Amino acid sequence: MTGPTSDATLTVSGITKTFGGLTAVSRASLAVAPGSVHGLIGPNGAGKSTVIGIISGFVRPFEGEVRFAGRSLGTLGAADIARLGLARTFQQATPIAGLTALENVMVGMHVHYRATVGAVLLRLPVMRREARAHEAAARRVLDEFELGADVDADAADLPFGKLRFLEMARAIAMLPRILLLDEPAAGLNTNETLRLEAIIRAQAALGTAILLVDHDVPFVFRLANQVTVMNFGSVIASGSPDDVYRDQAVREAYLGPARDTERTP
Amino acid sequence: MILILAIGLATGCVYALIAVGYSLEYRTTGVVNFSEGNYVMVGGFSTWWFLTSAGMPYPLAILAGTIVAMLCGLVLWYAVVLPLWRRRSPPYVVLLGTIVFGAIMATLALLLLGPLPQTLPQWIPGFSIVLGDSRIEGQYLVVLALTLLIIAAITATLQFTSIGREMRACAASRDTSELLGISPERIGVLSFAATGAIGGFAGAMITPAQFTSADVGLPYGVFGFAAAVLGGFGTMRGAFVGGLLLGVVNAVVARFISSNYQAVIAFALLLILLAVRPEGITGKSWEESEP
Repeated sequence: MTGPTSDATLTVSGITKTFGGLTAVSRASLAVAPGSVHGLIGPNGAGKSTVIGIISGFVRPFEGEVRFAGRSLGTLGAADIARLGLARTFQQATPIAGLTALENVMVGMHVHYRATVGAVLLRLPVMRREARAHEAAARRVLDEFELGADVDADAADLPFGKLRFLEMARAIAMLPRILLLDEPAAGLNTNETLRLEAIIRAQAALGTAILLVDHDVPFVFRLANQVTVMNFGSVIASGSPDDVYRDQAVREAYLGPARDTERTP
Repeated sequence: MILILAIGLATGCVYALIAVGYSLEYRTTGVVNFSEGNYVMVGGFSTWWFLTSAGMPYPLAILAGTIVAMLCGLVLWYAVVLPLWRRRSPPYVVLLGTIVFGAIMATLALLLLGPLPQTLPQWIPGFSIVLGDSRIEGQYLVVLALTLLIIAAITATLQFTSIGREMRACAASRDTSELLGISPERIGVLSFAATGAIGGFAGAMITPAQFTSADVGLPYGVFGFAAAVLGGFGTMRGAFVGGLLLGVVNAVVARFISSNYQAVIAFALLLILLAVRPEGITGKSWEESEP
């Protein structure tokens, strides 16, 4: 894991994206430092998912730039960005059907494989050692995520809660330097949410820069070091959770007076 | 009858191997490659050239013929499919690209190697078996055994190696695999090269039992495609079952009815079968298998 240098900060500056005349994101900027959790909140349609899509390379911005590890991600494809150390999870978990839970996690670990095609097909010892090491690591991660009993299950057959954790396991097994989490707590029960929190904290402690998007505002505020609030495609506030919480514009636009009592310290 | 069955099964093996290529390429890249039958032609024809004109030892000539077909697959990928892909061309444009490429291969073979049909020696000289009152050339058995071996090897590679895992992931969901750092372009290179090599080897294998010439590519491609659809598009098992069935039906029709109506009758059967089972013999229903 790389140390917390400014180079390893994920910087999004002034990105704009329109879809057929509709502005999804307008000059949005944010920065996620290594080892920190950055919360991104906002009402539905605020442009949060588009920001994540742009960072991960699936959506091209019209304006602005995403930088990481000293380079602009603008011209890179999603696979290249993943290889630079970015992992993400989706609102709707996306297991690869037909692959077992173990294989799902191992596929993500391929970003770290060094064996060449020839070595794999000829089953050279170097490749077999590497494959064994990766399989052991994948099993460890699945055990940590309480999926030890499901390693051989087809990922598509797992129930909702387990899928969410499988997706987290797959992302974390990639040893990411940036982790984008899109609504990771949606649909989880209290217990599962607490487990998820512990996982996210532990991952931040390892030095990963985490961008956390969620509707569950208390959940985000509990975890985040920094919070950015978006509305109608624009950033309307950003700062520490306390500052953002006190921000009048945020209260009006998003939190609303009724949500006041919901906040947990 | 046994002889006809042997001929049918051996040709069916070639259809099956072509169908494997269609499945591999379609599942991993979404491309239906209609130049595939020509790999069989290129493999058989260039093996013949390496053996007779270049004077290579037979095993080396087979290897060289297979490599030439693999290179054809790579040229198709880099020169035709990839540029179209990058421009996000619609699938029918890519399909046309592969048809044109197939026609170019056939024309080049005609120009470089001539219009005459050619054949190759048996792989195991003098090997044949007698069943009842028919004598079956050993080559038919060689083809059957090696096809089983190749399909088993491909299945094992897909199931148990990291590259196979990447290919299956890419087949199930290209977007998700991209997020996991798997480049669809790299997977495309692999499946196009593999398909070329499989087709080329099939050509080198079947030519001693039959013959090859510049124009056999198209019918092989069409029957291989039909075999893939018949068996259930996208699965190894389907390719194998569909290939063998089509090969046997073809051989029986050619022997007992007429070789002129071979294609018509085979395709009529195909249509009837697909009307009953649209997903093919071994295929899952589309809703289940579509990512």
